[in-house]
Amino acid sequence: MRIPIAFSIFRKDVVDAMRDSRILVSLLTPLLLAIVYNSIFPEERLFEAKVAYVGPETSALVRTLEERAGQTVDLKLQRVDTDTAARALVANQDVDVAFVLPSDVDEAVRQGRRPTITLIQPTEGGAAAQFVSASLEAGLRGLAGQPPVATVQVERVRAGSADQGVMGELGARRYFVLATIVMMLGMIAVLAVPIILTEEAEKKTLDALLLVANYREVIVAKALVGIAYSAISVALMLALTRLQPVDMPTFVAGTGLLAVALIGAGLLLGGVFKTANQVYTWSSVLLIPIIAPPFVAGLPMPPALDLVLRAFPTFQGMRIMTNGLAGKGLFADLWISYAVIAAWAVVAYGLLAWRLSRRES
Amino acid sequence: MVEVADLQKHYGAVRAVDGITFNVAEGEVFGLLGHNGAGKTTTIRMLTGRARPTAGRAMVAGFDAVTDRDRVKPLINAVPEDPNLYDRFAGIENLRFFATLYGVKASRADELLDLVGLRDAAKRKAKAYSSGMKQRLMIARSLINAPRVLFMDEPTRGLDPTSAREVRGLVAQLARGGTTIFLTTHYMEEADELCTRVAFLSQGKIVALDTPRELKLRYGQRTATVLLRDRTEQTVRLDDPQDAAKLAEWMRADQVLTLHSQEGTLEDVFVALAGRPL
Repeated sequence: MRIPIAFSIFRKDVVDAMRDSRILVSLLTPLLLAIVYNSIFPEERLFEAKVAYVGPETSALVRTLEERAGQTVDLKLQRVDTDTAARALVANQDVDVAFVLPSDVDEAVRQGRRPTITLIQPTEGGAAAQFVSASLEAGLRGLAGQPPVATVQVERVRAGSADQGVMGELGARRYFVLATIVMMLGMIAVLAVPIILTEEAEKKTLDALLLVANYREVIVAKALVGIAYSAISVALMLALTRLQPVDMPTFVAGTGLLAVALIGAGLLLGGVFKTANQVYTWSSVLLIPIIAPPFVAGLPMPPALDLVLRAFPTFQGMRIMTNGLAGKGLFADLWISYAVIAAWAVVAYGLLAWRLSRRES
Repeated sequence: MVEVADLQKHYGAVRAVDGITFNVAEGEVFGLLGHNGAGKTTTIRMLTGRARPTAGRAMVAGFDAVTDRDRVKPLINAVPEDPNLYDRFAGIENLRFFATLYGVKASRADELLDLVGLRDAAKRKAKAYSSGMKQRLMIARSLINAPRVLFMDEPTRGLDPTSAREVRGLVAQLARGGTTIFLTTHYMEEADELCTRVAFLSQGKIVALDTPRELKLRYGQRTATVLLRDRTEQTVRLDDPQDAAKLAEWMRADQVLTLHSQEGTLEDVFVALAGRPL
């Protein structure tokens, strides 16, 4: 395996694919869906808080504010130099609220000197002012070493609806975005990657490549293209939908493993079909068992159907990614999910290696 | 430069190449001629490491084409039968990509575009090239690594006469420069013009191998076209005693206005050996 050769082919494929409308469509469709989700699920839009402050940006109070914002508040924090500037921003409605911290605020709180923190808000107040006020209070308690007197546990109940499974807990918007990410991985692996490979054979450019490279280098390059597109597309999708996985390692592990397994299957398909048009036609059929399972993974379903669907890698990938996005164990026994996807990957790459060895002989 | 001994390739019961043996010297233009399916392309695929022989041995540039193919690859290149360029890439992009694969400087691509006369079309997409331009670009691509042995599979097939002449000119130029060229073609005139030696392949076997002149003398018919005073044109076979006597009689009777002798053609040789024309 000569890495520079595989990498040169990879770079060529990336450029070439960007000029191929069929591949562009497969990459852009899920991203368009993300934009659609943003508009059809307004109830889950983030609450925006534009906040200005005067004081040290390293203060624990500023950090507390950012931490509490998390995924529910789209916090736009702006540091200004003087009280006057902060007041002007509030008066001009450039920010929702502002606060002024003494330069030694953290130290003063710890030493019990009772520093004064000024909250500047419009006459009518508002949700942003309430959020900042509550956050500062919590931050001050933390700085003073006062533990909360009680823990408030928030439980969300959807009134008037039957059991909606994991989708109900995760929220429709986040759930559908996740399912669309899985769909996107499927389209890249089973549509874009096989087209790139099949086209090389169909147009006989593979013959020219094989005069200098070997099959393994070509296949590795195509797999790299799939992985690169998957990584970029998932990042774009998360950015467009403003979702941030709480448990990033789990989310990345699930996404990566699923992408690798699906790309292995896609490379196998690329070796089976003779023309890119055949891939385009038949991939539509093959995409159904890949795309459908993640959309139902979080819904209540009969045990028999659940058992069947557990054999599908995208169903299991959706389970891992759901837990990663939510940061909690909405699905149990994730090791089974990892094992199922890994088994698919082993089978796909095993068959691929077998085909390669036959071709090379 | 190329040594082939009892090379065979079987696909099930079909013997695509059935025990061929030949050598090609450095700087030689060697032609492999035969019908479709005679085994020409399969032979090239084995010599370029893209197909594993069923039996026999092939050495290219001093290395075994099968077991040492990674050492052979930098020393050879090939022009395939059909255009196989990256259509969405410009001419110069096609060459630069292969320059990176072979680890040669990008400036080599510019030199080769000059060599094949495509400098003005360098930035045009390959799909916009004519057949002749595509063929010249493929020849340029095949020279990117300055190969010691160049395999050319039907390099003028489907080209108009002008483009075909340009390609033949390039082949002759490369041969003068010392590149060993292994050529397959359907066109006997082309083989006659370019090749120092040719081998006729029929049903996977070499049925004749020699210089074009020797083959024509050995297997071709020597004829003469005679224009008589009565303005009739007659063709006589010089090796036929009856025709020779007839010609002598015309000469004695001062009936001959013009006389043109002709040696046999490679096509005659092929018909004589394979039983049917190409």
